Amino acid sequence: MAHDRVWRPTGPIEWRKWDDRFVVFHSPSGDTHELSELGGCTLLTLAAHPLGLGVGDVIRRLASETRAVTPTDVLSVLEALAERGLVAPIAR
Amino acid sequence: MNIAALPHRELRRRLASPGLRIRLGPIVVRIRSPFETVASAIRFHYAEYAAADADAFTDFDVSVASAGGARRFVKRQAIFDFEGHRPFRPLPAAQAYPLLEWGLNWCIAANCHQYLIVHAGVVERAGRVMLLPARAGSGKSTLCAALVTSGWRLLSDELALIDMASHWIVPIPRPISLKNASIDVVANAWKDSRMSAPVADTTKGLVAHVSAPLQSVRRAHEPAALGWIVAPSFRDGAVTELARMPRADAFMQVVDNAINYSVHGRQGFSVVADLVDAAECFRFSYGGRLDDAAKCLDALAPK
Repeated sequence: MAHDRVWRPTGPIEWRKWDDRFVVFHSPSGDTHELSELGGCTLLTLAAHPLGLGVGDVIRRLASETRAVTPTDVLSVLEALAERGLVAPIAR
Repeated sequence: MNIAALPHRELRRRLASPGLRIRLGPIVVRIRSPFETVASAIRFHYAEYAAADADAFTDFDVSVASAGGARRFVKRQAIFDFEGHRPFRPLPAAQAYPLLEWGLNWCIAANCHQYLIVHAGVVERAGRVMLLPARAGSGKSTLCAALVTSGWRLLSDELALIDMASHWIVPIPRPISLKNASIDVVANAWKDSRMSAPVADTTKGLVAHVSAPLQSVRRAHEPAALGWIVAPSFRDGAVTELARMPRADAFMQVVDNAINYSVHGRQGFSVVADLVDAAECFRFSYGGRLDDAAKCLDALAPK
């Protein structure tokens, strides 16, 4: 189940936030990405936990720091970040 | 000594044999070419540039020579060479001078990695630089010509050289390259411009070059700090409009036009982000009168 997965960052990042948007430099690939606020906050949450977090942990941390989100929202963002190679799922 | 001080015969002699060394902002190029059109264009556009000494360090050793091969018996062709690299196919001899300019752009873009290089027009007024990052065809050279006419200093119409440590922009003023309809537009708007005769049928269409203003050439050793990032877009008949641009968009606009961004990795990211933090960011569309376009941008930096 996708909700059971643990997600981790794939490498160190540099980032800036202006208004409600992030720009992120992904060191392993050398690629630069533009992210929404939820995408950026999710990535930063994982970046602070390089060993990985489950979806529920990500939701709790986002809720305590910035905003309330649904598991579907977060899962969708994690999958989009994974498509860009910024995060990856690992087996629990 | 400036190029203007060289008698034409001496200019041609240097171009033919040891090479003519010219200081272009932070770099020195040595140029060789047998073409009279190249010699005349250098005399026309580079008269006030310093001829570097024969023992000066040369950054780029280039030539625009006659191409070999069977075609030379049918029609004389010119080929650009940089230390054995030939990045362009031979072109008709009539295009020898534009080929030199394109070749110099290629040399700088492909080699000057001590800078972050952005494909952009760059002008300065009151100590602040306006960066105009844009892809080809968005009218940045035309806009540069308009702003220069309005009193801005030209740092470049093509390549922004950004110092990685200070983040200041290093000038490399060279002739402004105009294409097709913009040639007449600039000629009409800038009556005392020094424009060379247009060259037809190039890969870019009709091209002509306008000399960099004398004051810009004389101040080629003065870098300046960034003040504005303005993303220009030209559309025939468009209303002149300047609007704030979100910083994330400005960041991506600069990155998308940064020629050697990938070379600099994380540091490149930080430099662009710092520049965006420091600048006011705008989108600018224009398509009507050039003086209206210049007036609109002039308002950002009153004289």
